[in-house]
Amino acid sequence: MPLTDEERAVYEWQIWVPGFGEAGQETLKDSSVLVSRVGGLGSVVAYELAAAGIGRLVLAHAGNIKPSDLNRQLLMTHAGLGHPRVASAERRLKELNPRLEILPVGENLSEQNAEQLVSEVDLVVDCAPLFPERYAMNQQCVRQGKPLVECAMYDLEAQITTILPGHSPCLRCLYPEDPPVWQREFPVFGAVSGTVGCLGAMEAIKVLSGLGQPLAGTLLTCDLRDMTFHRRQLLRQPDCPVCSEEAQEQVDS
Amino acid sequence: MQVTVEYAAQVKQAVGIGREDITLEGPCSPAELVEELVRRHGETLASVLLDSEGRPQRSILVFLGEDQVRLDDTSRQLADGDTLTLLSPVSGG
Repeated sequence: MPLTDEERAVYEWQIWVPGFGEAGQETLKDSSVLVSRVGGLGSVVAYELAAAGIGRLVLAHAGNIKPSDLNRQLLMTHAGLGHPRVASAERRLKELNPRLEILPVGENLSEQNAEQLVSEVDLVVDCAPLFPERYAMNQQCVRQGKPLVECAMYDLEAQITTILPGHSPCLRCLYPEDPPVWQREFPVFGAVSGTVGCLGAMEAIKVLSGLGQPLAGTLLTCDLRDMTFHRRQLLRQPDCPVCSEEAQEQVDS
Repeated sequence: MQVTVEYAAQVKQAVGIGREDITLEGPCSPAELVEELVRRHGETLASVLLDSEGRPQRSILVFLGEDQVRLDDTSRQLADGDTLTLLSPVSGG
């Protein structure tokens, strides 16, 4: 869809980016993204995508704002304590970009709603803390051929990769089993989740608009204690229960 | 020969250090090095690296240099100066 004069003015600085241009901006305007949880990571992913002019966001996150959200969940506010997270996220994003269409979903992704929510969008950004919901998202993205940006963090460490179904390892290739060591609550700074959130938003913009090279098959690991960054090459699991040829044939049949 | 081991996320928290140099007497695969690390660090490392039957957890990512390796790939051998990284799974929140 062509840009309006207002949109040309708002996005002028990024339209100047070589390889992006007005065509890239139109692509973003016509694109939709599911952000699974708008917490520490997802708040920043959604905010950057709203700022960049994405056309439509589906935001999935259950529950109300708690005091312990406020060190990193930048779409939440002190005044919103006790109120639904997605309502706060929608309001803050609309303040920045009133043209943005938002579908707020007051529940977390699960095996029950993943198929429907993933079918609503062109790309998914996984900012969820629990592996069962991440696995449900991954399975649907692989089945529906939707790109999935994987954002994760711990302490001062960050990890990010992009899953392009059929071309790169999926989440089950990386983590075949629900990791018993992972705990729902963990140490982290908002500046760490914000760092990963910006990287995740950039990956989404790149994949949607065809700009640059996404981290497909590559895990970027960052240790912000000493600012060490690594690009690590990932392996596909030939017997992956989600993305192997055998698994895909079983779904098709 | 000497190799460097790097620990990340919960593995780093369990061991209490981010990296260490290990001197090995002879040929060694990544899986054998993990066994040696568990011997040196005991239960604290075993609790995050191994499953209830004492086998390496399948969701621990292992990298030799910048390349992921599988611990059941016995064809890989460490060389002097190599760096092995152990990365436990992390998520959003």
